[in-house]
Amino acid sequence: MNNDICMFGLTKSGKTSMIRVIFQKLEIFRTFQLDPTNRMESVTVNLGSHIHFKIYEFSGHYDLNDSQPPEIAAMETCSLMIYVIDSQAEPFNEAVQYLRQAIQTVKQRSPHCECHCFIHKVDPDIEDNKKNELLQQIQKDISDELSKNSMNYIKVDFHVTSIFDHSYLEHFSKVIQRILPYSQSIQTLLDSFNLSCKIEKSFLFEIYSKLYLASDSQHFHSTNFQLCSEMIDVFIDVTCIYGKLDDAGQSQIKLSDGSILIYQTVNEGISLISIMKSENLERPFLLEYNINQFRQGLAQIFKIK
Amino acid sequence: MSQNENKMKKMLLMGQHKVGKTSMHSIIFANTPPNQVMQIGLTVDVNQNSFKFMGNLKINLWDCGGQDKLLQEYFTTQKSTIFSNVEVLIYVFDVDKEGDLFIKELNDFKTTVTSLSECSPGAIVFVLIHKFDKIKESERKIVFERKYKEIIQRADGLNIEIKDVFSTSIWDETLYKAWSQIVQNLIPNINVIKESLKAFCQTCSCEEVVLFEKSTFLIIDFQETTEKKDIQKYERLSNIIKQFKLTCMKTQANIQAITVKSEKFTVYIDEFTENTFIMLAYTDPSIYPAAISHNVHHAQKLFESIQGSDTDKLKYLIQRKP
Ligand SMILES: Nc1nc2c(ncn2[C@@H]2O[C@H](COP(=O)(O)OP(=O)(O)OP(=O)(O)O)[C@@H](O)[C@H]2O)c(=O)[nH]1
Ligand SMILES: Nc1nc2c(ncn2[C@@H]2O[C@H](COP(=O)(O)OP(=O)(O)O)[C@@H](O)[C@H]2O)c(=O)[nH]1
Ligand SMILES: [Mg+2]
Repeated sequence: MNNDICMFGLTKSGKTSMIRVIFQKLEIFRTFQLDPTNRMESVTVNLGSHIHFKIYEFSGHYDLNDSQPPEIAAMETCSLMIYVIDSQAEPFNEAVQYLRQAIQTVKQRSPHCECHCFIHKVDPDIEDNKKNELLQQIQKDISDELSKNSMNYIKVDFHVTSIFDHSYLEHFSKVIQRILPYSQSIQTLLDSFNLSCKIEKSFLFEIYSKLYLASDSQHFHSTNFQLCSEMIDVFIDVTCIYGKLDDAGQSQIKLSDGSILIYQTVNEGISLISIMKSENLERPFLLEYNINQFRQGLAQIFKIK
Repeated sequence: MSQNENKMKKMLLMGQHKVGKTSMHSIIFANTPPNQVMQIGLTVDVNQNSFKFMGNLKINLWDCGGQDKLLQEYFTTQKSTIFSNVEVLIYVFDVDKEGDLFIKELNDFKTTVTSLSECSPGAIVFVLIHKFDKIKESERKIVFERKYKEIIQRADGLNIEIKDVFSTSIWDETLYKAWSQIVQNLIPNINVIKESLKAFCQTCSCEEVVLFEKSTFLIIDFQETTEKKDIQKYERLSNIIKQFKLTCMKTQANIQAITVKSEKFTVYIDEFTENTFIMLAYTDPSIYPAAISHNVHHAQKLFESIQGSDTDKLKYLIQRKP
């Protein structure tokens, strides 16, 4: 199946950091000690028991001018490429040229491959003015480079990320949802779940990576996402202290602003986290009933797949 | 309430430049996320911060910038200002410093504790060997023991007590362990609190009860009915909950209650008294959450009175329990 992801970007742009933090649970402060990636590395990703794909990380020194490299086979299976650009490493000429080359090379091997560009290291402490200036600069440089090479028909999606907040998880999730054929169906299921339980927002998470596989159609607030993804840490840590992860795991966190976070294990590694007003949590058994409905619906969707 | 219980306690935080003093107290007392401490500037003088803790404990924390020039001033011209009326000294070493740099740290430490014993005899000292995340896990024990011996020696024969030496890092729960023990030594009525918590734990038939301070999530005390050996457990909980609290604060909200359940256990964390959170853990599936909440509610009043220092009444209440 052609569902893999390839990652490109100059050396030190932050590719390995993201992969290790998300999939290998490297602690963020340890990313400072990472060695440069010198050859292509592949990571096999399993999300729950139904989602499997590979991520190929190409070294920042990878020669894109070589016409017959051994890594061609990997590129051919990719339906997505993520290009990581370090927003703190001005000027961007080299990064932008390398992006253009990467797109050319990959598109040649996998013509339908989508291009996603992570404008990375946009850390939370950077001022908004400076942030906007950087984003505009980078996007302009990229579009100039593409048109110079008559490539402006190519669509590049931009994502602003930093490893110091939740943006890397949010955008990595969004990119991965592009290769999940059923995110839409799950969304419909979540919408009806929310409606029956008077829930405001729900995310379906894979808990080890903290990536979300789907969410309802309501507006996305990044603070909601942040709370939900951090709740996974609380849940996993407390559970590992007192027992072990099982299918009955659940949790609730009540906040002073009148909202309540509800965590329900759906099945192995997959959990549903919802936010609602606590006054709407009148009948817990209703929630129980609906979560079971949701489980069944989800099982159907995975079966069709 | 005795005079002594209500006065400010002066706490010195000392150690060389860049060892992580400001980082630590910003995380513990000022809710700074650990990944933001890289932006902390150097402390160019003595920074005084006051904290109220558990209602009636007031800490006046002196964060003494650690550049050499400053240290020399502390030991000479400013000696009496710095070292008088101190109740607690927290001295921070950088675990990464070896050889001459470690000797230099030890010498400064010795001068510090000597000055302290002259100006504030009877003060207690905690030593933190910090940035332990930099040492490989397999070597931590050896490094700690080696440095511990050297450090302890320097305070030999002085009229001060080195209460404890901790290895710490802002990146894990060791930070909470050290600071929890430091504050536990300062809380007035800590023994009454311990006894009451023990009685409460028995009444509730919970396996574990932990009392956390509300703003810092430091551990005030814990009681368990069955002795377990996992000593870092509660510190890990402090760390986790504190992290979550920081995220909540971005939405201007605060944690009110947390429950985590699975087939085998229930953990219940709730606001307790004005200054505390309580955590109960139990594995007995026949215990009703409603019963727990009832017990907690009942105990709240009892504990509020400890913090009001109504000690005698409280002792009476505890003794009446079966
Ligand atoms: N690896 C590691 N680094 C730490 C730790 N704690 C603090 N640091 C880093 O150490 C550096 C210095 O921290 P500060 O808190 O400013 O040090 P200080 O002791 O207040 O220094 P002065 O104010 O100059 O006396 C910062 O870059 C922190 O990020 C830790 O536990 N581990
Ligand atoms: N400021 C900042 N630094 C980052 C961020 N992400 C990664 N880094 C740092 O960038 C450096 C290079 O990262 P690495 O993942 O090895 O880059 P790679 O060569 O693209 O794989 C590391 O020191 C990381 O700690 C980020 O979002 N902000
Ligand atoms: Mg400082």
